[in-house]
Amino acid sequence: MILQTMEIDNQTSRVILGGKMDIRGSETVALPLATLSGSKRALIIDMAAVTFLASVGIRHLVAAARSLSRRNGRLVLLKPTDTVVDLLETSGLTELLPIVATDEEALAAIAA
Amino acid sequence: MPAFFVSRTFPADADGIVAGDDWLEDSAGSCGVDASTSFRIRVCVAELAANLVQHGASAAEATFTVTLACEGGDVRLDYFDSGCAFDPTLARNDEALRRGGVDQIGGFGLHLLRSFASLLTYERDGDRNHVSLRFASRGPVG
Repeated sequence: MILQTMEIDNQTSRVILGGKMDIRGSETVALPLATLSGSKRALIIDMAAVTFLASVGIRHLVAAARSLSRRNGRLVLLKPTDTVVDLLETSGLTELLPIVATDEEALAAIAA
Repeated sequence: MPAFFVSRTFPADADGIVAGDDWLEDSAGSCGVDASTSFRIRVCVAELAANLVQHGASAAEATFTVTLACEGGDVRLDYFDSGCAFDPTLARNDEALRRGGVDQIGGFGLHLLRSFASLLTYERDGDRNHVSLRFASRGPVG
């Protein structure tokens, strides 16, 4: 599991994830996601290179989204694959974890 | 015997789950299961095995076994483990899970199982759990 962080401004970070967000991969992202969600107002999670997502991974994303939401912040998922979108839609979590297709949509979503 | 049939046993730990997923991804590809169905199958096994590791594996030598059979567009997955009895078909109400999201942590993986598999059955086979799942592949199988 790969995780890279880019600061867009002092309130917003872009987190690029890659690989399998499974029981092992989720261990890699848990602490960075928790730290960022506690210190930023918005996170753009670039999911384009995430090839697998298990519920343990979803829980970390949900925890981050809720942490931000409590401080009127927001998390969006950028460009997840069709299979990951299928999983998130089946999970009924696309309201809490909104999905966007472009950088412009991501910036608009977190500004809304 | 189905046109394609493979089976393997893995240790009930995080490494076993990762190895099982790698093997299942390769096996599903080998029998022509489309990417979407393969992903759904892998999610189901990951949920069952994670539940075993987190809650059901009482012995260090606990294992889980995955059997994949494909024929005529149908994919059958049989999952066995040596954990304590656990029936995933007795999941809580799906609509309540959707409303509650991951607050309903114990039922979340079960909701995915029930949603992704076209058929889900369970039996306690001696000292093993046996979960059988069916999927309809959109790709050429068998």
